[in-house]
Amino acid sequence: MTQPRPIARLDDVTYAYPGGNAVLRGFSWSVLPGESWAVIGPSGCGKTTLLYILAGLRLPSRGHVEVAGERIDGPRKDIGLILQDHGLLPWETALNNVGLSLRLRGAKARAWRAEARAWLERLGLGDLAHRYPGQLSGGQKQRVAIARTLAVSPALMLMDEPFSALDAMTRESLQLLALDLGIARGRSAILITHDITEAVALGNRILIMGTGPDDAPTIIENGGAGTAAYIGSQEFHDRAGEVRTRLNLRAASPLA
Amino acid sequence: MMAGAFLARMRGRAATLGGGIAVVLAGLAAWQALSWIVDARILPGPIPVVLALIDQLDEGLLGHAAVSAWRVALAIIISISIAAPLGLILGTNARLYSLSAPLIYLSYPVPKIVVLPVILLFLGLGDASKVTMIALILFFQILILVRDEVRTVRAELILSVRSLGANRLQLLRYVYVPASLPGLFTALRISTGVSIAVLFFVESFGTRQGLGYYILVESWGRLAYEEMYAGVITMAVLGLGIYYVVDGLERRLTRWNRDNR
Repeated sequence: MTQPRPIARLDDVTYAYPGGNAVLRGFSWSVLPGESWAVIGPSGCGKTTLLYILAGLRLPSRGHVEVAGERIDGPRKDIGLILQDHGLLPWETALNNVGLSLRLRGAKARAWRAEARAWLERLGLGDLAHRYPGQLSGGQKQRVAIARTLAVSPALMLMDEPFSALDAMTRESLQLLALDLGIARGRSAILITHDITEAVALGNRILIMGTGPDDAPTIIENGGAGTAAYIGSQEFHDRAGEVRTRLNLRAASPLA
Repeated sequence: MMAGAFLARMRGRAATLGGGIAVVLAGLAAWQALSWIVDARILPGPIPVVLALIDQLDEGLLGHAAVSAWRVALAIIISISIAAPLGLILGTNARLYSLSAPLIYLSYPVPKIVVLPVILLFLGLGDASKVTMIALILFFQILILVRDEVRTVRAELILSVRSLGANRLQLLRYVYVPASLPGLFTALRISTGVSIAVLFFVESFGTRQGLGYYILVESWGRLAYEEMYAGVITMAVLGLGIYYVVDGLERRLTRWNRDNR
């Protein structure tokens, strides 16, 4: 069986912040098309750095990073990034914020407005199109950010703790929404999280990172993820237990 | 719900208007009382002053007001078009920021009016030096407030807009310029008063036009006190007018900011 070409590949990547220690050292990893990854680990393990490298916002000190077969040297139009801090422009309405990704690509006013409105409707935000971010709740803001990213149908979605600033109820409904919209369906997704149940609910494959520079990350297969029915099942709980054990193991021996 | 909000706003406006009228009436009454108490020759009551004002508008006061308004407007336009882009550059470039910060820190508290003789030496006594003097005062306010406002833009916001593929020009258009607007308007609002004061001062010499000239030379100098008060009122109205224009533009252009607070 021939391996399909990875959508994203890191090869022997090292990254150190200026004047600091390396957060990634000789790190290799690949993401195949259609895969939905959850990356979990304690603070400072380099998981956000990993995401920024893939987004083209940080260039590695050493090593090779490619997306869709091309070496990465800056932000790419086929990658969608969603941050914990939704990143909406406070001075633009919800509609204009969703349209921003299309406007940046030179879409005509009529076209991007129609497209943005359709996405807002899909995410149940139709009535809020003319509100400013300051007039929206945390969950609504994050939905607008998701709409903005989906509007350009990226091949790879990168999410950095997108739901962690939300209250439990909103978080759960947005996780289900993410499954429902098939964030992973047809496209690849990488979700950074520090929440074990979120990782198990959304990631078909789970990458566990430990404290300190990592060269041999642990991977847990979690094929059942991706449906609402899986959440809360026996298999779900077993998998969450397994992730917790592995996380504790890695945290206990940072130098291993 | 929309209609309710609209009505509430109208009611709020009516209340503000009512309050404004009450304050003006109280002021006029106090003025009248004071003019009865002191010598009415140097403090004429509101009625002769308003009559003089109406009379004088026709007799050239309007022309003086127009010249003064033009000088301030030109100074505002010139200072915005130089200071705002410079503020954007300094606010977005860490190197230039730290290079320029000590210079700006040292020159900001210096009262700009003391360099007036230098400006007069270089630009002469005409309009160029008058407009430059006012523009110089506005320049520092705008530069500093725009620069600092731009620096408060969160790194996450820049990252997420960059990740959507924005180039430098698009970052400027969609992020930095709108982010700087509240600072720009604050600068204009707080410096309106000072610019009118400086206008009054620079119009007191080297010109035969403008409200400063009218008040100091044409009426005070001729002991025509009713006309002098008419000039003072006109100058106050000019200041108020500029303030309202700035306020109106701010409401229109930074709706997001007002609604969020």
